[in-house]
Amino acid sequence: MRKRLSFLVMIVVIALVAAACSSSGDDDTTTTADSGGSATTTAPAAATTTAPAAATTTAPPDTSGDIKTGRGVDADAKVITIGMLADLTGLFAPLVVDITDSQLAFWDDVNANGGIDGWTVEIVVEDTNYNVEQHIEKYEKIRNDVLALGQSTGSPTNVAALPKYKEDSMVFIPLSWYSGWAVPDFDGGLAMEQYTNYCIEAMNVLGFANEMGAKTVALATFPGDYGQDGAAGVKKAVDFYGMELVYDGEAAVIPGQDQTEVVTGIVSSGADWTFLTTNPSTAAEIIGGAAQAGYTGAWTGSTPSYDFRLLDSPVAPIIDASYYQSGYNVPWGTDVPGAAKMTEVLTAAYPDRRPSDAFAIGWSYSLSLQQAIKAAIDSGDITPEGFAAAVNSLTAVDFGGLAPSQSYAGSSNEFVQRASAIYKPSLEEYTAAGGAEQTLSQEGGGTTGSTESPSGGFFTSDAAAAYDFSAACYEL
Amino acid sequence: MIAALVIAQAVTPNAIDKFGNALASGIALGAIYAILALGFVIIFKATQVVNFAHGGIAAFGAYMVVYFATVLNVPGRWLSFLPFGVQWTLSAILAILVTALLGVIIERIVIRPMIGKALFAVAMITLGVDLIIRTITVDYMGNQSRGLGDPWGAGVFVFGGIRIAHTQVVTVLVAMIAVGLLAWFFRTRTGTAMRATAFDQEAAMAQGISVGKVFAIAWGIGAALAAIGGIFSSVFPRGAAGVTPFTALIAFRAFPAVIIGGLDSISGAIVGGMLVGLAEVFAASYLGSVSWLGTGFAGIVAWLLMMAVLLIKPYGIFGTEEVRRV
Repeated sequence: MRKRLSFLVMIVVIALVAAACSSSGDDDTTTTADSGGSATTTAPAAATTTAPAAATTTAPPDTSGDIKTGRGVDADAKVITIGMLADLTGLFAPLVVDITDSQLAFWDDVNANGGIDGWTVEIVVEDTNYNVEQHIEKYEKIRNDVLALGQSTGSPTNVAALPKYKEDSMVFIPLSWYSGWAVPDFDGGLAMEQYTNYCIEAMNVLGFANEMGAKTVALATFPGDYGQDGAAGVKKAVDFYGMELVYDGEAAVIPGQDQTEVVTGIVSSGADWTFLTTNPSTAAEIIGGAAQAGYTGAWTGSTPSYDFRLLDSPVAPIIDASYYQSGYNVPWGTDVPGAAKMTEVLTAAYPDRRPSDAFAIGWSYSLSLQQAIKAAIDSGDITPEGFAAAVNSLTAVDFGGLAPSQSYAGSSNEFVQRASAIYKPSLEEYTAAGGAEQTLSQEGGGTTGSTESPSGGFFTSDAAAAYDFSAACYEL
Repeated sequence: MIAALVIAQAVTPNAIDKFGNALASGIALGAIYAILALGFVIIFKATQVVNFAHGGIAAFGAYMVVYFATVLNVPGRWLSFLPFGVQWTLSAILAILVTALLGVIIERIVIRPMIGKALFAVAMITLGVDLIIRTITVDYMGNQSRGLGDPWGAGVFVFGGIRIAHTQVVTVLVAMIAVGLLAWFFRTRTGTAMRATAFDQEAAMAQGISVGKVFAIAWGIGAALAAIGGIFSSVFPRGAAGVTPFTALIAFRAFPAVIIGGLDSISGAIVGGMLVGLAEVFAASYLGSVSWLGTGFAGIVAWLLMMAVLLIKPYGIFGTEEVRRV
């Protein structure tokens, strides 16, 4: 009997210790994405103490008052908590850090000016390292505490987490432009995608290349839904314009490996135009290798393939001569109505930071989220399901000219974004403004060197306009 | 069959240009691998430790060049009368010395206390050291790629259809100088002590050689060689964007070179490095269009070569065979 009692006591002690460990892990929810700037965010204290580990992810709606609330919403304090699963240390970190910091500054400014109809928006940032396992782990950590994900980096990461998002009715803004995010049958209507997807972006690039007289095209991409979605768009556009694909390096670019195989393929093909879907440092390696081998064709990459900081690298003269930057949004320093506020807030928040085209991405992501939250508040339902409904009712999210306005209502073919832009990086302009020494607080705010748009700003190519979009271009 | 495919493609227009470009690129890549492999081998030969921190140390060396040459401008700020190329070279030498010091510190703090302990445990410690170095370096230097600000940029020598980057020529020259310096060093008193220690530690100690000092020197030299490898893998054209958090992976790509040459062979490291560099580049240049090989074949050709060598020579081409009493 005594032994049995001791055993029972031991079991109880182990259970208590395990529970304590589990809750101490939950206490660690709050992180910041301060990567050099001064923005900090905190999760509300209440968020760390709710929902036991075994609880389902959707808290029961709180119908007190006029507004229905649920997970991630504190009706008493009027606080809405939004999560961000950001790649702050991985493959796309240089871009994502700028995007995330732009978002943090945006929400600090909104909160400092009364929030949204008196509701404060608090941000919880988790670093996912562009790693599927870490993304899932960090999602598990915050899933019970946030209404939605205001940013979630990556195609493979979000695809892996999608079943969990669906379980939770978790609206997410993918920092990924995979074409599947515009297909409700695929994403459950939860992805609040922004801009053109990789596939349609590639069609626009090829449309521009066609106008520039390109007849032959080379293609080199990462494997997976990022690279191969872009590749699918290139191939559809090549067929549409009657061009010739002279090197098909779909999925041939493996980050961290030697790129000689891809470089040789591009150079041997002698293509008029090469399209890349990689990250910036890998793009530089390919562009540099090809230039060394004598390749003289033009280059464009999917938007995440380019970073203006390449103008600080040895390939800068090659980029200046032959790289055309594809853009979902306007570059830093463009004079559009929405840019004035962004410039003012970011300059105040990060006066010593360099200008970045990625700031506009973070800013416009936040604008769309702000309009979605406003719509949910107006509808009287800020439960996860109510928020998703509010998102899917938006017909014209306005970015103040930073990007083409966005709709989420109707069929995929109706709301998918088809407009993007082409910019021409200028090393001379970039260097004249101070190059790598530029800061946001300098006179004129600095430049990333991409102010000239040979496409005349946002445009939709004939291939993109004619494309019947009803399914992802690259099926998983 | 692979050789036949290469030969079949060699009889095409511009075949000489293609061969020449691949040869130059392969030798330059091989020089980087050889330098990295030498670092591995010197540490292993002296201490019997397989240093998995080699990649982290290599990237650290490249980051130090960024720091000294482009951030601090040291020592160029005091020597502005010198040509830019000389200033940059001095910054690079300073970075290599700092990295060598890092190697000595690693040896003193985490390797020496493990003398006599299981080699597997020591290897695991180096794996941890690698993660620590990479994490701290990225924390301080940021995630974005950082150009080294080298004086060669994207310059290319053109010989008809053969195009060789200035950096590739410099890489090979620096590798040759490093090997020459090592050959000289091994003939000095300290070098002789190091060779004696590598041959038989107990006998060396009996002769009054400070084995601890030899270990520290080996780690210092190994780290310095890693830094040189890291620097030249972060310049045009392969490292056109500069040093990135992925630069550290170059050491793992050099690992087959170490095994092929023989884990304890200095000359084997050079031969292994060259073989792996040439095999990778020639496979990429000539077999990339062979569809049934799939994409990325060049990335595994070094490992295939390593397996083939090990099947014939289990201790590598120049490795010392282990003799065991049965």
